[in-house]
Amino acid sequence: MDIDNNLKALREALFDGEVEEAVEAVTQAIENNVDAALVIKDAVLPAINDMGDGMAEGDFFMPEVKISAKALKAVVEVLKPYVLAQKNLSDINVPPWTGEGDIDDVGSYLMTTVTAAQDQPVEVHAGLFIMIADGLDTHEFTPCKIQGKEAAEN
Amino acid sequence: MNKKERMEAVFNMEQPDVIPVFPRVMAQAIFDMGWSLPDVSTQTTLDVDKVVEAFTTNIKKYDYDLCFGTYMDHGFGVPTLGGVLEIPEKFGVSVSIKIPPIQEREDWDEVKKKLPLDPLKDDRMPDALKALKIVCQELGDEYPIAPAYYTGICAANILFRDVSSLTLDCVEDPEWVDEICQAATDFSIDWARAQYDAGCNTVFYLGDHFGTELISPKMGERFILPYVGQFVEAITKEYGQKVFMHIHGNMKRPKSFALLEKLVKEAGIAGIHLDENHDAAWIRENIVDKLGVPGALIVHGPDPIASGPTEKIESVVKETVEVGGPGGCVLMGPSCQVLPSTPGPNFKTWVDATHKFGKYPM
Repeated sequence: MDIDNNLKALREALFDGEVEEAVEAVTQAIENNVDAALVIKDAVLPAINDMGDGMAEGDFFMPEVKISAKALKAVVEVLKPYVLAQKNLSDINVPPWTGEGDIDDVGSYLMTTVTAAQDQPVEVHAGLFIMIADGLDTHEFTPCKIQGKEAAEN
Repeated sequence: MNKKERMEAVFNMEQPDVIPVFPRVMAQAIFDMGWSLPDVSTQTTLDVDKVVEAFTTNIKKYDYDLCFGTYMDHGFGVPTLGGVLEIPEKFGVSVSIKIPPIQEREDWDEVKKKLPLDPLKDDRMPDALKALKIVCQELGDEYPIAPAYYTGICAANILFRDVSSLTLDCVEDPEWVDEICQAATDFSIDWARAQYDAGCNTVFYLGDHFGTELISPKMGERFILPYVGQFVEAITKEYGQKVFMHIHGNMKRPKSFALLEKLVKEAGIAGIHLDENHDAAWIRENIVDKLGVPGALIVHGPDPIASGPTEKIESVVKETVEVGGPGGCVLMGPSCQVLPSTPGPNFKTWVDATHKFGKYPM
């Protein structure tokens, strides 16, 4: 498979939450010596942006978010050694997850975060997508709990 | 009109004397007494005397028009099934599920053996019912006291499994989700029966935090709609009561509204309480006029009801009532519940302002 189709397959598998296909596509890319920076820039971050767009538009709900997050985390594990070979994650200047609110809000946050990272170095992209994968996995989406937290904090 | 007549006017699509207020009070009644949740609840018991005192005091102090009559949270049945509740010391934080009964899919085989739950015997339910019975007797039949719970996938979440895992299950093992939704619905009907038998005397208040917030309308048709239908059928047939539903999600989207329409026309829901995504004009047009059922006008729980100031609360209520009130068939509700940390003056202002600006004829 050529590089473009490989990365397209990875982007789609991440969006669709197809864990096995996503791992297969990213492994294939690595084995074919595709630069990890390119994988992240042209497949992973666009997939996150697509997810964010779906969430903000009301097409992507929690099952879709969680299964895509699962695929993201699987791809993180494959890519981590390649992008973090020279640095520790803690040395990378990546802001912490600050996604708040319901699915629409978090979707907008993802898109804004990805856009803001466009010109950043590959280590930042890597840190970002690790941060996002963890954030999506642990974020509280239940509306009653979000309201309760909002009121208790204020 | 007494408060029961007032609520019944709304549920019957008639004009009441004033717009009634349903704050959906849960933990707020406890904190309002200066108590913390461990003062009234353990994993398996409730302090009946404290619950009765909290709820009768709350109702009289704030003078709203519909209550649950006892302490409610998401934890009923969970300890008996092997789960653990988080009962927080901290002010303003509700009871949650620390360890759900089903952490791994395989846990279901053991949990199944503990069903059906018995509301007259299992964990905090008997105490909640004792308190409910006393409150019903104290308030008398002129005060509407609604039973409450959840059904379908929302009940399955509360009773069995955390939201993250359950939503993944919807994709990876939907047949199993069907199975646990049915088990949860069976319990929800039993729990509803127990509350009516303890003295509840008005519509059933059904909650749902999945709605089209957490799952798509298409998934809602599978994991919410049929179970709501079963629930409504049971309550209507056995107690002659309607079911009023509080559901989360942005219902302005066409596919989401289509699910709402099915909940009314196919499942038989007789009133709708949405969340803060829906302003008064939208509620009037789409719930009351289009769907032909009573609706709740919404003021957002965190802001302004919990955050205030009272002047803002009064102003928001006035505007909401002016837009959504004419024509009747509405009650006033919060976007979810009067939140546990809501200060007393804010709560009182919200109720009083609704009664002040919501007088009929308008």
